[in-house]
Amino acid sequence: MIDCFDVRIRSPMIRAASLIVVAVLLLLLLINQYWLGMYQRVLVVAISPAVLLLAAVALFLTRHQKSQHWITLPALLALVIPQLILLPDGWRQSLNALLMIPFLAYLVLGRRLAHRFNLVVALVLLLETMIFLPPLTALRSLLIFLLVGLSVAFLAQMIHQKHVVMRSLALRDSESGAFNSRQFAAVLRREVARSERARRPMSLIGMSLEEFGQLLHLHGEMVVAQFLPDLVNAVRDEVRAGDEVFRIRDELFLLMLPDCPEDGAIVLMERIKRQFEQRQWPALADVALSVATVTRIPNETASEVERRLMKRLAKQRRASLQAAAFANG
Amino acid sequence: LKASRQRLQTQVQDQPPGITMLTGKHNRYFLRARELRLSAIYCLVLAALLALLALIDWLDNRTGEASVAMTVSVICGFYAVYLTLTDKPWQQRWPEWLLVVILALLVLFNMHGGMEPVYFAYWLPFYLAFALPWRNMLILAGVFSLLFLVRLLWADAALAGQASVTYLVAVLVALAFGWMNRQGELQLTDNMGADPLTGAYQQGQLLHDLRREIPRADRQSTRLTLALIQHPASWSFLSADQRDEHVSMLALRLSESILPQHTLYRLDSDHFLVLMPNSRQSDIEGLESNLGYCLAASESVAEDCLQLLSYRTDDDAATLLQRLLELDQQGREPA
Repeated sequence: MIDCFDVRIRSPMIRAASLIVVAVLLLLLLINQYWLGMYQRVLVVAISPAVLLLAAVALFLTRHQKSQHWITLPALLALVIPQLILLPDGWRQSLNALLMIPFLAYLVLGRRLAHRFNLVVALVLLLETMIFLPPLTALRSLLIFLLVGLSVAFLAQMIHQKHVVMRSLALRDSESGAFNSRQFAAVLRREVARSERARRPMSLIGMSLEEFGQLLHLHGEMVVAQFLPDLVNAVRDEVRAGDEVFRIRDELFLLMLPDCPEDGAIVLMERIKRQFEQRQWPALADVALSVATVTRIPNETASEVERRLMKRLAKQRRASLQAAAFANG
Repeated sequence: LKASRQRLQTQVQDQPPGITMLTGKHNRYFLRARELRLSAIYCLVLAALLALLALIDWLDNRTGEASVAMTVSVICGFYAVYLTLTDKPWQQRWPEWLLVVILALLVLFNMHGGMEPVYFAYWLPFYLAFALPWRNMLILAGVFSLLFLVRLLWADAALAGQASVTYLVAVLVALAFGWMNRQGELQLTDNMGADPLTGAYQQGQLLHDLRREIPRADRQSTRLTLALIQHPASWSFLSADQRDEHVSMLALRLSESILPQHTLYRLDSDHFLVLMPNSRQSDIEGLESNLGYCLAASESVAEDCLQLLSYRTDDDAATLLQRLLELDQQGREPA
């Protein structure tokens, strides 16, 4: 499960759009510099907008891939290297251009990789300016780069931290709309206490999406993220008012059934499985679901019920895999 | 019950009299504390870098630029100290506005000598996104960008082109960050059902839980009771931090007093509610007894603070909540 901020910042469309905007701005700058007679700068920097536009197209074409750093990293290098080449001849111009890098890096590379990338650029900048420029100018360049880079880094870190904290207070999973694992732990403890006290049964149904990693790889995060709320709503349509759906891990959903005996849980499990198989999922034709159910036995604790369900679900998954292998073979 | 009371007594004795709300690893109100700490560190780092920059400029005989950098460094340093000393950094926004206006004026009126102050302009949009709410940031970034780009028309033509491109990239990225942050925050706020101060569920979650519990109570013919715990009106005269401290302590005591199948909520009115499904008379008596003991220990809540409301067969979730809020309102009105 990923952060809301991360979802947006990892969106290929936002990355591609930002590269296109920068490429257009650079083209306008090149025209301006050509008019001012800065031909050498125009010749060296002319490669940058071309590479950025190409990278934007590549980002769009590979938008379903999980990692696109192999496109964005060379694109940023195509911005950095020409400016490093031109630095000894016009350090003010090149430094101004290099200051674009921290901004773009956090937008197109993500927080962690951007930290490292900016650090490397800062070190190379220091090294080059120490060789070609007076020491005070070299230090000034480094400080200015750090001033700008750290501002962006702090903002990115602050946003990330805020979202982590807010997510820890959230009860629902933002992707699927189901309650999250934190809420599941609290509700399970409560329901086990109620079941024990009232001497009434309580059941759990576990639903695991098979080959979730492969689904992400084949269809992309966005398609899977659109499918998950539909799945949760389809399950909710089948259950009573007091029952609740939880998303525990990426692929794992649990259904809490208070006051439900074992035979009722088995009937419901089969109905959910049948509905899932009969229903058309236009975005994901090849999706499959493993299901298992357990009913709490007297004196069983919350963790014991959960553990028993996980074991049964793992067994069910193995059986499905074997059945699939047998059918293919 | 005796064992539970002994445990509670030990915990009450162990608790320091004035718990600090903004520091400490067990503090649930960590969002504000973390934000504060990160902002203070950011300002100190900026102050240090700018002081170094001023020193380099001074060594290079650029006294004008050195004085600008030193001024901004001193302002950032003072602001970091202010953030560290004050517990409520974002209750009053004037320090952020003052800092932003000073930075903007320094950039706009110091570009006649060289292009050095242009670097401050690059991080100003990020500072705006960092310190100000989205709408204010949008207005201020728009006004400053316009003034800055117009000012660049009078600067060195060779550098002005590059500076304006870098500045536009900075503004666009800062806006993108601000927008994404706001969207993510809105989405997470919708999903946030727990109160950051006390860890209790919020009123929105109560309505959801009532919709689940009422059919179960009907199906099983069991009793569903809501216990409303109101804190005294005198708390409204306390300072925000003192009130937070009392509310947090009360929530802690309540969460220790209730049974595992009960759920604690903090209503929008700041009062607490315990949802008691499958309740029996002995549960209610137990809760009253535990509460009386806990509240007497906290020495701040009146004895008649507990009011009970039972589910009736003609209630639905909305009408039950409505009855509860009316009861809450009556309790708050002066006798």
